[in-house]
Amino acid sequence: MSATTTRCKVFANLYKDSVSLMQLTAQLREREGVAQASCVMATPANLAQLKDADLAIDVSPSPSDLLVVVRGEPQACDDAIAAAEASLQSKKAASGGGEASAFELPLTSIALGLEVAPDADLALISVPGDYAAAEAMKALALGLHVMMFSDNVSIAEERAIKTAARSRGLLVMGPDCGTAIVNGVPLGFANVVRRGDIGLVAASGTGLQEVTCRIHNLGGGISQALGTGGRDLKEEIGGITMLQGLAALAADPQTRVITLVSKPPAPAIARKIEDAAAAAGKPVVIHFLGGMPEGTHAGVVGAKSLREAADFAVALARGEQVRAGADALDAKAVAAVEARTAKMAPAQTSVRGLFTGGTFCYEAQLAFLARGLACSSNAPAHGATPYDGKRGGHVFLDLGDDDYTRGRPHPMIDPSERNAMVRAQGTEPQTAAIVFDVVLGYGAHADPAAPLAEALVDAQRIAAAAGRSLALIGHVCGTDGDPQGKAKQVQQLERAGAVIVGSNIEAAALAAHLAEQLAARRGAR
Amino acid sequence: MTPAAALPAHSARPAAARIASVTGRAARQARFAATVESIGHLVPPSPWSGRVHSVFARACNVACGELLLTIGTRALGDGPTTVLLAGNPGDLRGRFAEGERIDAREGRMRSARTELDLAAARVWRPAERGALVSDVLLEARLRELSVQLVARRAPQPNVLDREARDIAKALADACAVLDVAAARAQADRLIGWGEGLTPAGDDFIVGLLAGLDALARGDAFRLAFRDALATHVAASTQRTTPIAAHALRLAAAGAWSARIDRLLAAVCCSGDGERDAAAALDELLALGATSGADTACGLVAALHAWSRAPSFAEAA
Repeated sequence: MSATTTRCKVFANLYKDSVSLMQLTAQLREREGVAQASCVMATPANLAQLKDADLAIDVSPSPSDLLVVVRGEPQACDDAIAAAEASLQSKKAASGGGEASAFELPLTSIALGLEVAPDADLALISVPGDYAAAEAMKALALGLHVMMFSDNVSIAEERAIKTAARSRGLLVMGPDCGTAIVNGVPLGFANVVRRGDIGLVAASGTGLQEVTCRIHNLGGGISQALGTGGRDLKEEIGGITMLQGLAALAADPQTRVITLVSKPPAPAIARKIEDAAAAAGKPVVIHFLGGMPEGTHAGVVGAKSLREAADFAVALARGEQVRAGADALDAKAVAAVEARTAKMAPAQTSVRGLFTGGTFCYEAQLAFLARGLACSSNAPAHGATPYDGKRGGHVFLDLGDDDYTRGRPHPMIDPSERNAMVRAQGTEPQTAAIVFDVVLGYGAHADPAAPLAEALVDAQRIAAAAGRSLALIGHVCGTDGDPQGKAKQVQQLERAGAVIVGSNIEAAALAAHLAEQLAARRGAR
Repeated sequence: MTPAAALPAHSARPAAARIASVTGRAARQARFAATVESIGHLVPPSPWSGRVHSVFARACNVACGELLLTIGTRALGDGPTTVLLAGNPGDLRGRFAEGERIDAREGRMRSARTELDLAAARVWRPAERGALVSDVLLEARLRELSVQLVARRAPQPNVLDREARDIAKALADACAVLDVAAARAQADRLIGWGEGLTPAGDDFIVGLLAGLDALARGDAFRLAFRDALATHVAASTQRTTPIAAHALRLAAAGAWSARIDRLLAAVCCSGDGERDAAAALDELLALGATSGADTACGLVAALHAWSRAPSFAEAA
């Protein structure tokens, strides 16, 4: 370090809490060229401490002044003082507004939060499940709608919370609700989508993301996207939130078309939902994964996939005719996969689905089962077998399931475990193809494609060394407005040799096509 | 030292004398009106005038003679010079401005933009304390409290856990042997020591004085020691921030917040102490960034000093 100097700045009558000042001190000390720094109230005791720390100053502040002292290289000191000034005088920490001072108690309850933000009308609860129900009830008592990110809430508690909310005219999204967009505000895992006239209620987080993203990518927009939690359409809950959400969207002048998404509900609940949809007075698209609406109602359209739900909603919003179909696979993608298939070793017979989104895993299984292809999963769809840990046959893993997330972040946030599993597929003689999803948006990993692309390259290299060729099929759930940028993510994956298609159902269908080809090849032999 | 020695004499007048109805132009012009839920027992009776010293989201400090009154929301909790507002008054930074005048008269407090109705306010004063528990029970409670406090301080240590640790222990040791000169010397080093709005050293001394007060009852030597130390602290408050200085002067006069009072009662007095003490400690720890924890530290140090339990420092 070159010659050192000491600089100080006095902020008259500025009050800050101790933690803020300790944090600021630590930040200043970490700066390049700064040897020592301190931010304290200028009391005699603190000034004596500064002197002992070789931070003596030649000014005489009063005890009510805040003092920033920095020792180090001259330019570094000037920069540090400027940074401290900017930090101390930012709006959040403005004079008289130290966020955690003795008079700015930490926000340790929803009631306290409401004092600071009296206009708030929704509480987002993300505490351990044991406490979540009680917090939700407190929020409802304060007149707030609730989004419960928390899981591990009993179904009895869920029913009690939702019943209480309904009696107050309030909405409870969750428990285990990871995605919502309310009045344009993304909550939890959500994507950057334009506002528009399509409203959604979904009992599926990644399902909601897939549909909202596709609507955006098709040029449509979202009025509201409400989550219900995965158990809302079970018999015990009765679809309370979905029915409330549907009614809210029916009454919402910004919403022209409504889309409902869920895994197959209990039959009685499905009928209630369909009846309510028919009475909404607006076109309603319903997608029950693995099933279609049972009844025939005017104004209610059933969709076979998440992609189709989005396509139908956009068409209806534009006043166009809904056209089912578009099942044909993209010829270019098929050609790319078939080119890999031709180089596969005879032992390569199985497709491995490694998903971060539970609904994507579920939808992929349905695509295989619909073609008569048996598969297993740790979160099996109706007709699939539970995954037994062995490696035979087509396997689809929901890596966001509790089995894989206990003690670690969700793979949308930290995909390292999934990437390790992708690499490991390179050593698996049976593996013919890896099917995967990449979920973008708020809350997700900042650049999930980069480490995944490395893993895909490694897997191919390992497989090639053993004389095998791997097909890599994926889809990116997101928009170009997302912080990660969809185009950039797709590009990285394609450079790694993956075939990236426009939706999860297309990826699953392409993998199923490959599985059929492999089966036919075995039959021919 | 008694409250009367440190605070204005008129502060002892009953609250009923402060409450009356009001009409007039100023009231009609006020843009924000709120009801006061409780008034600390040392808030002076009206009429008085003060100046807003500092404003935070949930508290507004008003300099009024020798006192620094605090107008706050319920979250702040009762205190001897606190005026607690009912309901949700919103962000007080939008209600008061630093330097503006506040007048209290005829049952109302008025600033340029705000009018507070005192008519329905109750007067908060510390509860009558029950009989002291046995030394054995006190020691058991203190042991439990010390363990909790050490665990709670660990994630957010400050000068009391580092540079000032030995000074704080030396102050407690001086209290244990009633060495006034040593206690004054250590208190001098602690006053104003620490980063924030109320430096950790000051918070420690507030808790210490409260703890000494609780166990001084009926013991002339301890009372004399406590008063001597309090007098010295009250005379040294120019060496710290105005807000901390006010808390020190109040503590020297035997007055502190309801949170401290509840913790003292839960630890030292008869009742379901174990359960109450844990809850009261939690409540005190929620005060400020580290102020509550620093105050609890001083309180526990004093109780240890005058009981036979092992010291906080040993527990740590």
